[in-house]
Amino acid sequence: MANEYITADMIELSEFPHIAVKHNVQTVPKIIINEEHSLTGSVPDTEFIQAILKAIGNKTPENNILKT
Amino acid sequence: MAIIPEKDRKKLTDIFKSLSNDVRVIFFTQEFECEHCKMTRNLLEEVAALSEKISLETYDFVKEAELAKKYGIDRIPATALLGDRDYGIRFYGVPAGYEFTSLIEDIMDISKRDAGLPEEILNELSKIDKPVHIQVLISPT
Repeated sequence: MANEYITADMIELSEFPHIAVKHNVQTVPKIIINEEHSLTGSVPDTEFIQAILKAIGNKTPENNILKT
Repeated sequence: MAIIPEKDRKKLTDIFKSLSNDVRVIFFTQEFECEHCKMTRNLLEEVAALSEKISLETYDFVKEAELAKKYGIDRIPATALLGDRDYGIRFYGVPAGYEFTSLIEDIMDISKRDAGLPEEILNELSKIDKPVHIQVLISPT
């Protein structure tokens, strides 16, 4: 909701097993960003944002201004 | 037989009393409904019945292929949650277990038109200027 460029899907793997295979899912939850980058398990917001910025090739904040 | 137990329906009805803006639930299924499509439709119908602010629109994935394409739906059952615009939020598969909690929380946030994220996170998110497609892969609990 925060940014129009971002879309998010929740996918039930038991109904779509080919997706689990496609992304080689070993454990859940697994988060895929732009088909290529992935995060496993639940991650803190800050780590999630870092991963998104990395996925789109943007510079991640240097000094960790994102308070944990 | 109802999917959502009576006491949970009562709880949800209460929670939904605080809904301010309308939430549109757009659901894609097909004429010859698979088990999961039927279950999802029943579940969404029960949820939508708990508040006047929640409306459910059900479409046939095959017959309304153009509409499905517009919403970027390529598999069913698929549920899209919209407010006054499309936020790009989709649920594929039956939103049961933990996913149900996410569905309800999303409905709450969409109604508020605010995801309740902290300032610093919003600042970082506002810098994003390229498409970001997030897929959260889960298993039923």
